[in-house]
Amino acid sequence: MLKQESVETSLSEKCMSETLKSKIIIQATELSYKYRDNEHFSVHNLSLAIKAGQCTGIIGPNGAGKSTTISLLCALLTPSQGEVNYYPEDKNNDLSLQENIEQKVALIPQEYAFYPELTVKQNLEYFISLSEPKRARRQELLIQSLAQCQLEQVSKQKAESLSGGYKRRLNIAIALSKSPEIIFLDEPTVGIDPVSRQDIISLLEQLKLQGKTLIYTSHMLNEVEQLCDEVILLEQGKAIAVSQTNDDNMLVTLEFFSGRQNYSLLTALGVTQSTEQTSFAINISDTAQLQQVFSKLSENLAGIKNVHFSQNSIDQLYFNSYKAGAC
Amino acid sequence: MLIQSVKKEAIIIANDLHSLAVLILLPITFMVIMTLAMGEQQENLVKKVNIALECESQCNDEQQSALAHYLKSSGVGVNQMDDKFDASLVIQAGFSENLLMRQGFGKVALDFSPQLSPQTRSMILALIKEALSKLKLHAYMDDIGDFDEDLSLADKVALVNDSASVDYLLMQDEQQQIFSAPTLYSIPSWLIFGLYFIVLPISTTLIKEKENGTLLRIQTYPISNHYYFFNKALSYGVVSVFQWILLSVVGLLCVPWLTEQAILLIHSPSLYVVSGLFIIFAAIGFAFLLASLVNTFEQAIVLGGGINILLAALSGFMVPIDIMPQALAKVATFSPMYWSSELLKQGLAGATFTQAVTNLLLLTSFGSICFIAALTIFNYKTKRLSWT
Repeated sequence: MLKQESVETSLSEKCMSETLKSKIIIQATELSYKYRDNEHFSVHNLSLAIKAGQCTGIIGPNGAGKSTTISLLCALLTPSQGEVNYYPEDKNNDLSLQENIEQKVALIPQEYAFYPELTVKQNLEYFISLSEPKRARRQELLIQSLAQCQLEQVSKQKAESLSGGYKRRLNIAIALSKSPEIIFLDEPTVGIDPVSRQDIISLLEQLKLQGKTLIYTSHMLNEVEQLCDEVILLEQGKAIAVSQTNDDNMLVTLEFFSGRQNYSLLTALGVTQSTEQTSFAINISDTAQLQQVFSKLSENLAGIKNVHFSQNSIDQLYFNSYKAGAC
Repeated sequence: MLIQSVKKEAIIIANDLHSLAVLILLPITFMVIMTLAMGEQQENLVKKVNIALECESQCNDEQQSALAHYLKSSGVGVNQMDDKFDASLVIQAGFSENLLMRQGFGKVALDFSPQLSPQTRSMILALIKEALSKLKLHAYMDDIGDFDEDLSLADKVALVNDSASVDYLLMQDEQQQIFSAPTLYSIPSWLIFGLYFIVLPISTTLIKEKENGTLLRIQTYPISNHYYFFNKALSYGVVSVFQWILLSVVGLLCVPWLTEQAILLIHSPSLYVVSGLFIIFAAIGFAFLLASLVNTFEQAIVLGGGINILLAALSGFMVPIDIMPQALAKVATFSPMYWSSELLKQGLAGATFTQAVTNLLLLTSFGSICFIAALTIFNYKTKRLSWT
């Protein structure tokens, strides 16, 4: 298991991360990108704001534009339209986009992005040498990243001989050895056993507590729900839903005898909804809102066939959103 | 960063058996095989030749024996027809009369074994003609009474051999004698071949870095593409210097010892060292150009390995240029491997920098063009990298 000392992060650290959370760290405005050999935009008019110290999940089916969005956010691709700004609210930050990325960002690709022939220590030493010229600081970063990912015991082992879990940790340790403020992660738990997966999730939770900003893509919706503060659902390059995962909203599914006029009514009431012909899933934050919805529906003689109550979840949001998209 | 980079590339190569094989074992094996083959051709091949000599009818016994002696004195074996032979000489009737008088043609029938290569046939023919010339001189000296009556056949043969010798007319300087060593052709050629094979580890590392996301990850580090590229090139340069030193030691000391040839001396050490650095510059530039062009391991092996083997063949590493057709030999002079091997030979043979300047300039230009093209392609491809 990963070390518990970081879990027991000091209150001051926690307070600091809470304060940070209000600040926008990355702002993307009307981003569009079209690959040369593609007719359609992979990302189209996408605007989003990522807050400091938060974990933001970017989810969606294959081809939804997740990879392109991340490539645009870390300036690996240049947008056809729109722009990306780092620290837009920080007037002291006069670094260019590229400089911000070089100094503050680390990537953790899904693949094992290191050299299997080298030992754990040699891998870390090499990557640290790319960003840190001072010998003493390099040593410090090496010890720190080994400890943080609990790799001390295997530091002299060749990376290719490590288990899947340790390889994932090394992948993360290399990113952490850069002391980044923002970390982009692509399915960091894929292909490992449940215990190792939980270790990695714990490590990422610790990083959140330390105030690191995580941008996370995964198909594992339960992980996204566990880790992320905010989730952006992408479909055909557009954000079709944004959800806070820590809300206590209730999901109410209303089934009507007929659909069209009720759709307009629910839209007018301002409840977040998704639709499937005569069935609507709506987000209800409290009982007063629920009462208001039912009284309006009854005033308008809406024929309710069935009502189903459930706790809101990313799974439901995901499936309801895509069902709505399909309509 | 450079130290870490060199360390990383060296460890990767040391862990890759295929890279070690093509960079070290393959050139050493070729050095040994080709030195043996060329040494055999120049010295021992004559000793292996067996010529069957017979007389059809009415033979002059002394002439037949003298001919056998002259053939033997050039190094070939002379046997009877019953034994295994490479060529047969049958002296026909009227040979003695024809020897001095030139009456008619074809008084000696020559036949070769079908297994003989054209080169060996030419060599045997030259030896037979030399022996017949001596026999003609023998007959002439006999005719004009140059031989004392009490001289034995062996004495007469010795006298004719001495009279026919032209060694005293030829002057060969030390540099010319160096060029007669078979090692001077095989060692530099296959050393160069090994150096240019650095293309395979460079290609595979670049492809792996692209495929496993390492290159993508490095894009977020505060180093430019140019810096990363030249750091990598410099790292491989250092690896190549070690390879060059190792192959030079093995090639100049061990291979001659193993193949019973004279040890190759470096007659111009400073030119040899400078040549090594220029050759490595060109080889790494060429390797990076090929590595930047390929996208898969299969392409790397076919393009990198294939082009190297083709260049080696064209540059006279496999077939000496002097026996190539003129057009092909002309093409060879445009090959960077040819310039490299010529430069190394010049260093070994004691040429001056002025004599080597053309090859030095050709390699510098070639290496620079390759590096510029490779960096352009590398930049272009890196900009198209995206999170997948």
